Amino acid sequence: MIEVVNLIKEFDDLEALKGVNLHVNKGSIYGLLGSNGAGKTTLLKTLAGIYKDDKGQVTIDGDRIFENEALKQRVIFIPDHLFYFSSYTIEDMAKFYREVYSNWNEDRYRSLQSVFKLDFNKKIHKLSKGMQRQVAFWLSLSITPDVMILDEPLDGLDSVMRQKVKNLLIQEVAEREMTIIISSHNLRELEDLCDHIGILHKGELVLEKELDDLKQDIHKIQVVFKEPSSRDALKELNILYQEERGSVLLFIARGNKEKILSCFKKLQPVILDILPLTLEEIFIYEMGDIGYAIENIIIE
Amino acid sequence: MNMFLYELKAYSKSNIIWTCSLVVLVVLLLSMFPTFANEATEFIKLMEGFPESIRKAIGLSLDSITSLLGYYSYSFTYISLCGAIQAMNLGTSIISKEVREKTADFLLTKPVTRKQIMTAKISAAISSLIITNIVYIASAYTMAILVKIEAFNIKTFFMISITLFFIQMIFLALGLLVSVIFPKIKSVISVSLGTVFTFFFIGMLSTTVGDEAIRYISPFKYFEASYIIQKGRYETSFIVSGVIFIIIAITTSYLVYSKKDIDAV
Repeated sequence: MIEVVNLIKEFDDLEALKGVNLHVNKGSIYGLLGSNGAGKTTLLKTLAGIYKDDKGQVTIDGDRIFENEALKQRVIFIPDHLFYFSSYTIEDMAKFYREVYSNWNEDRYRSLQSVFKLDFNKKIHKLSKGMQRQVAFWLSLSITPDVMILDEPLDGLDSVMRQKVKNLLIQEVAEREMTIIISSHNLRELEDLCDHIGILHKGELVLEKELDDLKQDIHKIQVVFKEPSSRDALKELNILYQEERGSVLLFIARGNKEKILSCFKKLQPVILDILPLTLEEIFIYEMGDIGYAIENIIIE
Repeated sequence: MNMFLYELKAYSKSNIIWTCSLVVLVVLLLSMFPTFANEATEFIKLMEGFPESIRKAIGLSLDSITSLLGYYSYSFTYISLCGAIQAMNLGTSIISKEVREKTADFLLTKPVTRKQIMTAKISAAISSLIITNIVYIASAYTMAILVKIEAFNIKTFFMISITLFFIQMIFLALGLLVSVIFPKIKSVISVSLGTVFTFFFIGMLSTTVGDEAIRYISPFKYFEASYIIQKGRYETSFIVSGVIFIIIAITTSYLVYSKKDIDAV
């Protein structure tokens, strides 16, 4: 599927990507997170074949994308700044796509009209920013792509449309095993959409995980002990963080849930709760020092 | 085809403006011919007062100025200057417009090669120039028929007029080359005006100095009207160097463009 190996991308005086490795499986929705200037757009533009992968390798299905017409037939990129030919209507634009993409699906295009409810003959530049974004999704989905590369795609969409678009994307993934790589500076936006998450920080991919794995592996434990006692039993646990709130002790631990519970039970606590972490918390604890730097991406 | 039509449409507005300016210019200049021809003797007397080098520099030849073709070739110096600015503008904007309007991002993700993009753009630009020239020559010819005092050689008239297209092609290629090498040009007009006027003055200088070698530097001097009037043909060596320059410039642009990141930030 999508494979990025040790990609380095330099502009005149700026090293935008410093050896990024990234893998996206077929039929997966991959969320690429990072603060402003982390290199998300550069990475996506290289994946889309706009930038040349001069150092390192970028392949989709084993083929290099740069100047690869056949591959670009199946890959669609929706940039953060949309472009339409000036004074083109939606229908004119569709005509352009029809001519360029061999896998254009006319039925799909017609039927999606009921989702977006925009007039085919409306001039695109007269539409609002959010509506223009809808047109981008509309046209893109009509070519039935195998891979969608989306750069901050949900910006400017209202919450109803956001949900509609998300549903459309999930549907495509479920039905046709389409692959999506989607960037955002906000984890919350992607939480219910992605199955994999990658965090890009200062041109490096600092974390790449499956969301379910992440959630299973890390736990928050709230515990109250009768009296201060030795906590030696906890030493065998991988404790990432601990905090005292009055008599309540809070632990964040990584590992098997049962094992963690049994360890705590040995200390005969009065109260023992084990809670799932929100994604935001997971990232902050998981990332340690870098966590602080990326905290703003996640919390906002 | 689609891209070609889009590009053609995108250039059409400025193309119409430039074509109109050229037509207005030629109509204006030629309409003065009858009056001028009537008072030619006085004009020549006046002009003789100027140093010869200045007369040469502005392209004034006193022997032929009273004939329609002579007068036309004198006027043509300024028409070709105007045409050159149009072509240089067009050539320079081909790539820099991409960068400014973020078309690059859009087209490069589509299943088209950079070569196809470039071809669509260049052919649209050349077509624009062809349209300009057809309109220009038609109006120049009509005007010449209207103002003529005695018969003139129509073939020579066309031969001179069509050099507008040759000069424009050279400047189009030059503009293209400039824009590929410096894709971040912010102001197209200042670059093209600067370049065109530089070459125009080099051309003036070459006539004053009378050095053949300098003529090769300025495309304005590739097609000397006086030579065309006398011999009824173009100077081969200049045709060859013009064609070679165009080929080199366009090939280089293709090569650079297909290898380069078009940075649309």
